Amino acid sequence: MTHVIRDIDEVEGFLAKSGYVADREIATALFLAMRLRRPLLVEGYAGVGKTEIAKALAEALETDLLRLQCYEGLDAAAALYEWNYAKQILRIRMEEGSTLSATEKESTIFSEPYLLARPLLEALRSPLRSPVLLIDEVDRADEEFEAFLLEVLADWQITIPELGTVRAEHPPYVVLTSNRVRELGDALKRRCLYLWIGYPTLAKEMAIVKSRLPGVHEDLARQICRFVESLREIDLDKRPGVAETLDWASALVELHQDHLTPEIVQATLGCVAKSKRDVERIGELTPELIRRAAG
Amino acid sequence: MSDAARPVWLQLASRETDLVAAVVGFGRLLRQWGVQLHAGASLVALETLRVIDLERREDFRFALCAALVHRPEDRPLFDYLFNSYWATGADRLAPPANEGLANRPVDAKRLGRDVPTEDSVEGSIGSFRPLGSSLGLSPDDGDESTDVRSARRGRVVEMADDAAGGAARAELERVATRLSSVLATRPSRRRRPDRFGPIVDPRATLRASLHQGGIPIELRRQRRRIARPRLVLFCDVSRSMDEHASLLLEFSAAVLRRFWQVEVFLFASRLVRARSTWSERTLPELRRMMPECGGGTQIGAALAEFLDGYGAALLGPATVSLILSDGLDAGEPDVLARAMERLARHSRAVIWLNPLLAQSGYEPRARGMAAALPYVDLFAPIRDARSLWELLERLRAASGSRRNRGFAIRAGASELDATQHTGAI
Repeated sequence: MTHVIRDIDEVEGFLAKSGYVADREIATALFLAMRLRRPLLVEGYAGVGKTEIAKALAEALETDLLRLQCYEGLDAAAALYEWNYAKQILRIRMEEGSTLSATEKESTIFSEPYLLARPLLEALRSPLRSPVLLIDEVDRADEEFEAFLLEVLADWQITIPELGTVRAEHPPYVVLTSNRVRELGDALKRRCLYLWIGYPTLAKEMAIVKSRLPGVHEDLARQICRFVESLREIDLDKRPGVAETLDWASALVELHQDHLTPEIVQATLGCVAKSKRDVERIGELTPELIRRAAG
Repeated sequence: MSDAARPVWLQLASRETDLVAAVVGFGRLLRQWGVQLHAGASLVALETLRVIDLERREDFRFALCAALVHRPEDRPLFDYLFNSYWATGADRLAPPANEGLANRPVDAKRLGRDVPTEDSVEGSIGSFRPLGSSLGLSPDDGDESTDVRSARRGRVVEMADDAAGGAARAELERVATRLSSVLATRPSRRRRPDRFGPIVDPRATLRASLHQGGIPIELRRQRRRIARPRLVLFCDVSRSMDEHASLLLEFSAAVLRRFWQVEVFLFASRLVRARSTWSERTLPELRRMMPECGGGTQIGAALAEFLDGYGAALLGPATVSLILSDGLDAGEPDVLARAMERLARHSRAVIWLNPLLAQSGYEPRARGMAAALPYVDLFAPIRDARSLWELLERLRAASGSRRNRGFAIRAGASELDATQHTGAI
């Protein structure tokens, strides 16, 4: 470890430095996760910046970010390690005609050089300092994987049958994110600290836009954020997150706009509306929404 | 600062054991109010308090929250109880507006001093768990007296404990098992060994080859598993469903035990998400969670509420939506039709089981039902376990071999349509 985080103010400081606009609650949860060495489970709507937390953390600690993207059917081979079969077969070929016994051959090809480390194993083997391990969308993996994950998170060690036990010298900081596709198991939740990130307040969202897009016009930022805020209240198939706000704002900045007009909203609607029905619906309401955003 | 003016936890912090007792008491209080708290959460909470600056009220609150609250639904309740429990004098804040909590019959002073027993919590909030309240359902909206309510609860218990009920329950269990296998059609990404499978398993092949000097004489193969589907169950709990309540609850409970990913929503004029750990509940407990709402059934509005709040997260190509309702809707047919259209578009299939359909002579003419019907893949009666069983057998037969069951529901449904409307199943 290069430096020890002493208090929540320091966390707020480094988050701000890396451009992540966080409120006190986020900073507190992150601080506790680091100090207590507990995994942090972050839940929230799509596009509110769950993944960004881990990135900001890694940046602040000047350490590696290892990311494990979960999906249905993810298994230990994809998350932990796999043997390099092609290399193993080549090795067996080379050994042809040698006097080695089958057991000896076996121990040769099931050894370190033939191992392909996947994110979880990488995180445990980090040589110099604790990395940040991001386990993204853990709710997409199934329960079997969750149970397996729990084992790793509990002991910071895993056993590879052919090689023996790998124990982490520098246990990673773990951030798990979930979209609540399903309720996670109690055992996993029990191990984690929990943070829910909702949609940001108007002030916070504007701060995010301005921090990410320093060139944005003040009025435009306010109008965009107000517009998106009202969008979240109407009946849409997919409500826009902060990610959509940022996409839209950067599109408008590219187009050298300093305020919203019905034409420009119509032309750039694809940044915030993600289905045909939503496009139509927002299209109908655009004049009203612009009036509200400008007012 | 005089001792009396300091926040209560700071007074306690100077005496470690008192703080421990207070935090544990707070955990117990949350649990009694229905906040899902795992074992050991209070210990984690104490751990967090050791590393933060207790002088800052907000930090104290967020630290407890990170350790104790694990579901966003519980957050308003946590804030409310936090304010009641930990505040002294001027620190005591009004309950947050707008969260449906303001009307809750809580004696904040009492909460701060002695922890209510299970019974007193029960008594103070009516026959509901606070879960419903935290979603904005006010528990005392119902115009029924407690007598009627408990009388009704009694009836359900009676039916469940009926001797014949036991056999029926077993039958429903089997139906739910079959339902889960009939719906299981998607290939999963996980694999299992299979001698004639289409995929070569490199690890097993290599291992086997070592016994033959490294020559892979026999390829080990595997096949993709069949994934079980995700199910979202919508259970109509309006009064018109009362005479079917026993069957529906038994069926829901059976489904919950048989599917591994089920979300359950109860609806009448509003919608409540029931917990996914429902399966452990007994019938009377389930009944308690149900909101008793006036104003008639608003299926469309309830579904829209679901789609806005949970749709994006829970629906998808792997999800089957199952609605248990009589379709007697007091809302606008347009609203229902639009909600159904969205639901159908985002689900793999929509199944509607209607108890009225089992009565001879019924036709789905009610405006709501008629509006919803075009978006339903399978519309079937639910009368007893027998009728469901027959339905599933037909579905299975109609869909042919296990492998092409991808279209099972949609194909099976059209074939069944002809027989259904005569009430023949």
